[in-house]
Amino acid sequence: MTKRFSLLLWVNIAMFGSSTYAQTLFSARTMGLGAYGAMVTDACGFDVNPAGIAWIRDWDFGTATYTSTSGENAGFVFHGLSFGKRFLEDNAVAAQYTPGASLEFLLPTNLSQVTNTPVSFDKRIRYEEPFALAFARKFSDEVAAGVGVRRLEEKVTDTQYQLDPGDTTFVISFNEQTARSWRIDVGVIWKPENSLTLSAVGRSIVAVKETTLPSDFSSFRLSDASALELGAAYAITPSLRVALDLRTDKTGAVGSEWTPVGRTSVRAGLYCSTTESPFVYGVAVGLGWSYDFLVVDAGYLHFLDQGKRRGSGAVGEFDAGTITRVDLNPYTHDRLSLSVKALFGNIRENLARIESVEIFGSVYPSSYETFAYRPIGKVRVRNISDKPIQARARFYVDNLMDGPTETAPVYISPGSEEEIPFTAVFNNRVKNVSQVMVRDGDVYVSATTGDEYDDKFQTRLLFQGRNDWDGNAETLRYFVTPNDQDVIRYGREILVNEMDSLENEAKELRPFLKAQMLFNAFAGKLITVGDPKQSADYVQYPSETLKLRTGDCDDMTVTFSSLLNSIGIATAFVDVIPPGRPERSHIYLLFDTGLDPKYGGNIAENPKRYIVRKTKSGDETIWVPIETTVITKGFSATWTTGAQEYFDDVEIGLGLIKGWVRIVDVY
Amino acid sequence: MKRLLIVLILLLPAAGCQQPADVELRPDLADALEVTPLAEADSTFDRPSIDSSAVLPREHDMFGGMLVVNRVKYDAGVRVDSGAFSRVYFANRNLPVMFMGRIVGFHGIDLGMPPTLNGMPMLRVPHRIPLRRIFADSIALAGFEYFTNLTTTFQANTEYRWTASSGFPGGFDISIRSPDNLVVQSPRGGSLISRNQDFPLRWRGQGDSLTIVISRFDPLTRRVKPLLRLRPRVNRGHAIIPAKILQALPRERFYVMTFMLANRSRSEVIDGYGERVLVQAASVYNSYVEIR
Repeated sequence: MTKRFSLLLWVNIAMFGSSTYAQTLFSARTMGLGAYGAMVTDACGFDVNPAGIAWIRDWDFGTATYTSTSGENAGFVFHGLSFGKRFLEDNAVAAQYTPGASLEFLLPTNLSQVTNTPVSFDKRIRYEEPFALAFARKFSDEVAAGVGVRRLEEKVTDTQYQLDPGDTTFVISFNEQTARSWRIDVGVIWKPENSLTLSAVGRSIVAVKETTLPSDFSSFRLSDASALELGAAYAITPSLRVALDLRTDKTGAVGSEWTPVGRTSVRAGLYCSTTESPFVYGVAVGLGWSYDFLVVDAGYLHFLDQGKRRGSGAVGEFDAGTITRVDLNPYTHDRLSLSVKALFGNIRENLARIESVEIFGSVYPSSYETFAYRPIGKVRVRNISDKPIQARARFYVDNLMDGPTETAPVYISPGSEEEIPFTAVFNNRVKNVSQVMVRDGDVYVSATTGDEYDDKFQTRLLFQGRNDWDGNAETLRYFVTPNDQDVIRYGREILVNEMDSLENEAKELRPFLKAQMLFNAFAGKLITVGDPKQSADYVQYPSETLKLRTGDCDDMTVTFSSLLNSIGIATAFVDVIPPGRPERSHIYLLFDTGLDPKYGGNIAENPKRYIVRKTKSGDETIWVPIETTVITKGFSATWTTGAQEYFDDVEIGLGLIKGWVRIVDVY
Repeated sequence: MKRLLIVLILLLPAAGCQQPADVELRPDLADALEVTPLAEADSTFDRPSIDSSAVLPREHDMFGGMLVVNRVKYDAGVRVDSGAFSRVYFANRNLPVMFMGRIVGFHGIDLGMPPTLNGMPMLRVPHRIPLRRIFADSIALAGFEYFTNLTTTFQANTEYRWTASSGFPGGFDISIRSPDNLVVQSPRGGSLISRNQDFPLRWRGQGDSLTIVISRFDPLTRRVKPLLRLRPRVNRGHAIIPAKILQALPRERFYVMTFMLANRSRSEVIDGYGERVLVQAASVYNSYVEIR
């Protein structure tokens, strides 16, 4: 079994810009991993990379909540909801509503003894990302691209004071200013191989500003600088994934996800930055559990330098430019996050994967029917799920088959591989293949009922010409066409002319005599050309031989066999491959006279001139060997030669016993 | 049923009802000021203005008696005047001074033998009560108070002791230490201050009892009306008046910023005198500025 390793390596590299956006902490899985750019596959993480939603199964719902474990605020905060939907096979949309993605600063007031209006702050600065939208399209199983739009709101509430000269008290009013903008991200995911995923995200490529904060509050404006993030993911083993992120703002993350049991995942991540002290400024851990279509994730993020992360900071150190994400910034508290995701819909999860396909040689149109029951190839299938499956393979060649040919189900345990041989039911069009050609054949594997498949593999088939023969006596019989109209007509014409002479003969002898008549008429009108049997030979169909009136011994053998079969006389090939001299291999013909062996003397005094064989019905009858290479010498000569060959090969050489002589019944 | 359960589980995180914690941005305490508006005093009940007495108008109502020693500077920019004095006054609540049906003051108690200040007898002078009229102010004389000019002798960080053997059954013997010398470096008198910018204050003078009073100043009548009291949270010799506070002031242009470094004893009780007595030693610096 070939073990396939997949490596998911996360690498995000920011290309330009002094500030960029770190990923959201909406998903507990995201937070626990630390690096997520090339691993996004759901609506919870599309604001990290919008292209990821292209791998949404069908319906994708998610919700998240978190609580701060540092600072004074206790209790869970509703982070938000996510929704994703796949449509038209390769497209997906997603949306997030995130009321919990907010950051608020308060500058306390210096005033006391104010009027009736209580004042608790001099300024309140609030940043929110209330919702986001995304669209993605999968261009192939390996490439997807997406665009995401995030709503950003910056609100400043400034307390205004006016001294009332008469009352000598302060009159309080509030000046509220709000800036609203849309930030557009563009993402791409590429999977050059099953084990490697690469991603690229252009963060805030476009910033569409509806309103901006006035100049008085310009110091509170968030940066809208663009940035580029590159990501890669690599799986060391199917159950262990390693992730690495790098960004242009000199931050990054390293993470890993281990799935020891099919439904449980353990995650760990490190958040790094060259502008923070220490370099590793955050550590995260996470757990994930899935059941059916429900996925539950929990994560905990701890910052090593608590500094400003306990709910207060010096106003002199406040710099809005350092806040690139309302979820993750120098003021973010330690956080415990919980997210739940449900995946609904008809999009199936692939359970099986094709590891390899092998085709057993060329397809000879002459014997195409044999592939209905004889495997044309085999496919190695791996069960990539955590449940046993019943895998079925289907094979299809466009135009040459009316439909896929399906195998019986094969049981495959989780993680195991099995070989499934498959057959092919070709239609009559394959007999029209005049010369060698290559055609694509599609192999599908499915672990569930229905028409959907888990994996597909395209292979190549080599089709020989309709007259090509592989040298095997077994397949030579497929050139025998007793039902061909030309053959039937030819045979009938001959026998009709000889009908009178047959009436005076014994009924038991008539098959023998008919065969003799056909042979004499057949041999007298044809010219033999060509060599004895060769492998990969060219064999004419009887109708072609009768039309051309020429052919080699194989053509004659096939044609005479067809003629005899067309009048009900069974035939068989004697396939001789002399040991050590395969170049001397040869085929000649036997035909069934239908005579009871006790009547052998009626056709030949020497019993060595004929063979007693059992027919399909079990009766023993007399079979006559004829050698078509001397067909022009007449029936008697071909019989004598054939009998001599049979005597030498079988009686003397014990070819049948030793296996270098085979008798292949045609019908 | 299964799907309903899933939906419920999905909504479970939505049960989080807390709001994200806000971040309090602490101001630099070295520059922080506590700002308090000051109630307006009765316009007809005039009192020694804050720029000279270092006593807020309403505080005059709280105390029947005062024993103060002040060093006062007036910085008008082109001219800086300074002086120091001590004043002793005890109001006789039984003898109010009426003017147009309103109490405008009280007679000052005659102590008989003048009290001494650091052994030197103080000068007995009439207690003067200014009366504000529509067209012209006048003065009413009621009783006595005691005064000593300390312009040439005042010293910072020095004990000043008032002693009296008459006037009250047991007399009194009260002392207080004068504060550190106060010098204001910003604003200097005559400064032009913009309302649209934060304004830095700088001074020299140690002590936790520093108070700054911003008063509206009428150059014609030379009347001073206190508006705001500012107290630095920590006396480190500097503070910042936010532009927002400057913008809150009335649109008049002329103001005086009175810096006061005072040592006070507010609970002094003198046998035989039923009122509270303010004992104060203060260093006062007045900076007359223009705010636009």
